[in-house]
Amino acid sequence: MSDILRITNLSKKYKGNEKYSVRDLNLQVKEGELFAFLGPNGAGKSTTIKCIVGALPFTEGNVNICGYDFHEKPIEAKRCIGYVPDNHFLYETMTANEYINFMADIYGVGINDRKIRAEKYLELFGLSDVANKAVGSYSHGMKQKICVIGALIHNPKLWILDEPLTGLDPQSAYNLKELMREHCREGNSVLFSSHIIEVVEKLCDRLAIIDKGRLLISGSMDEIRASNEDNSLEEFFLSVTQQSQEVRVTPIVSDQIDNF
Amino acid sequence: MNAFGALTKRLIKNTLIPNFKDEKQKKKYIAMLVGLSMGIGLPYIFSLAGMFGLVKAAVTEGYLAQVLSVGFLLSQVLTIVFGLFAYINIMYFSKDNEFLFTLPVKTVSIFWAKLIAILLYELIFSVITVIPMSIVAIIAMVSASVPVSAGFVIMILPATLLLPLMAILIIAILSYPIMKVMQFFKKRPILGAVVTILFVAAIYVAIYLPILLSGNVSTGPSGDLGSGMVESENPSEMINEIYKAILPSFSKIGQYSFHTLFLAKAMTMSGAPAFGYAMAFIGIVLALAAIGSLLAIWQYKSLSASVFENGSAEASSRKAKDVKQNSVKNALIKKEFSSILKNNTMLIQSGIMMILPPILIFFLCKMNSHAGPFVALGVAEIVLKLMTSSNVPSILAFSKDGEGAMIAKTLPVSAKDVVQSKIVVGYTFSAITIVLSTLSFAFTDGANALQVFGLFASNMFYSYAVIKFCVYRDLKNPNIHWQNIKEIVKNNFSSVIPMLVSCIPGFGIMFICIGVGFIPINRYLLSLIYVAVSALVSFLYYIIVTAVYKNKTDELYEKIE
Repeated sequence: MSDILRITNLSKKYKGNEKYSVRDLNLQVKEGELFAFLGPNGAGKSTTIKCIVGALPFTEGNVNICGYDFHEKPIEAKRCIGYVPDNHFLYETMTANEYINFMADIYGVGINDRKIRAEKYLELFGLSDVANKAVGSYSHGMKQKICVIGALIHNPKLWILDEPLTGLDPQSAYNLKELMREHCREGNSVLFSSHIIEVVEKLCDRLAIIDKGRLLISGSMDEIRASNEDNSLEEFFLSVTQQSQEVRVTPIVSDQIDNF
Repeated sequence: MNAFGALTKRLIKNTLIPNFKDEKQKKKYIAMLVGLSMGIGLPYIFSLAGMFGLVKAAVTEGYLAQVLSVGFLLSQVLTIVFGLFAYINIMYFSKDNEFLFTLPVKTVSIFWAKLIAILLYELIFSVITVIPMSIVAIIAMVSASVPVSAGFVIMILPATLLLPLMAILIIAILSYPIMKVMQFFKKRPILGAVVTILFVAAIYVAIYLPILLSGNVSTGPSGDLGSGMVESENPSEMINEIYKAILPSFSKIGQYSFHTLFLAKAMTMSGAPAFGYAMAFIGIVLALAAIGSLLAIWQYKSLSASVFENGSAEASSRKAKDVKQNSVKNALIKKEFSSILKNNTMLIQSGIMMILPPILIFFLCKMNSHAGPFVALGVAEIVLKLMTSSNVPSILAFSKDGEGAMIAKTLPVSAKDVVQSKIVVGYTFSAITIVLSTLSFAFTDGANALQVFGLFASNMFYSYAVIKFCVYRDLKNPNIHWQNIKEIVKNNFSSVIPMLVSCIPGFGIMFICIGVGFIPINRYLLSLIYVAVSALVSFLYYIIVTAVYKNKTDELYEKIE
């Protein structure tokens, strides 16, 4: 399987800050993989994601998406991504249909494809009846769903979601998780950030744990389970992040996991 | 539709079309527009009539190109004055930047899409100046039996479109040092905002100073239009002579504004010279467009990303301070000040509204001082009343908090305390404006102590009533679902109503001041009458506002959604 996303030595320091928010991060997401990005609040998950999607310029390192280097081919790289931000930004004056069509225009999706996908997702999330209302009148969860539909309208190779389950009702959360699985089954990849360990445990193929901007561990769920027979992922997460509070942990990748 | 087209269409809609919650709000908006048009319409028609006289005099005296040149320049100045902060807000502080940067669209496309939206938004100043002025010029030329060339009519459209484009490109260039100052002072936001406000004040001074100086040239050393220049007893001839007297000053300004002079000459001449001037004007526009857009795109690329980056890093770069316990009221007032002082856009907008009246009063009173101190006092009154009614902290008292205004309702504090804290903060800004404006008026030739005191005391009282009105207006209909600061005002009726209301006492007192200037009695007695009238107006305003909103605070506060 080829890499859909390859991050090499990514570092990000905000202007005016002396400390790095993300430091020397290395990560790969493979084709068809559902990858989770786990970490406590303020760990650097959103900063990393914003660097990957082009919302933030990064200080050092490389980001390669679908074979496109982000610095050299930013437009081509962005075309491969569907991004659902944590703040679910939407133009409040737009209706859901207008927003979906806007995103389809931006990503160059044909009329038939956009119609089929919009109908499918609006139906799935129960938004068909309100699709012609201004999104300004929507609830938090409804806005989140519209962002999800907007991100999927061009069937992206890499779907990136920042804390996607926040604010969703149980049915919608279930539907979203199913969509993420389905997207991967079709040969695409999903990268999502979360601090809900149960969701990560049940959903993802591989995961990375990040804290204080540094990668603590990265590996497949099987590898992590194998190295951590006696404990749940929750206990494992707590022990890893606890260690990072006390000492700086050397990043452990999947091939080192047995020694952890 | 391609990505650029879709983006431009969306940004134009977002910038130009108001967002109505329901039909009722739409009807209110239309009613307000009609009211505003009627309110502005009458003075506008008067100014067009005045313009006709001036243009006709210019036609007969051979100054038409220069007068048109000044008119075009004025249209660009209006665009720059009103467009500067709209540009900065839309380009750099709009919340959609982060979203737009994740789309597969080149940064240059985002820049142009935003610029087109801004251009259409600012086109209004060109439409209300260039087109009527051109039509007035055509009528004046026809009535003076001067032939109107086809080129004149043809050039109206490019003039209407290209003049604001030039102005916006100039804004783009001016915004660079402003944004740089903001970035440089990002760890000292208040100092940075003060420097920015002074910079903008300098721009306003730079705009008014040449007008003041040229006015002095035309009116002679005594600064009196009547000193030997206007000799006729017939009113219409007298007005005509006044027009003729001020034409040389137009000539002076118009002569040095090369680009607008070329445009004016292209319109007023015919044949090859007209074509040559048209090409020269278009050449200047293209050169500015090339240089300006390159510079603007470069600065947009470098600045816009770092604007929201700074916002993300801001929290971690602040040092912890000693915590002191405050009373509920003090805590609310402190939070109010903080919400303005720590938000660059709010602070700059508030600061400009604070510093602009003294500048305007200084120049306008100086320009009108030849007509006597009471006319200058009338001018100071209208400027002060209108500008303090545009007090940003109180007009946006609740709207500026965004959806946080709803969350604030969960706090265990009384609605009355919340409203009072907002009034205190708004009034503080207004009080500074009044102090500075009074000092500014004190420099007017012939102003006496009673006038200075009257202007200060009555407006301090008037302003309190206005601030109270503004805060309650915003409480009644806050616009808390917004994406950038400009949008808070765009769909908020409350932002215009206090100013419209202030037109009544403002113009009333102004006309009284102008009128009493002609009464041949002691000037101190007249000043005393002014103080009494002005105080009475302020008192009445306060009584009405208090009566209208009596016992409504809790009810309105609960309704915020």
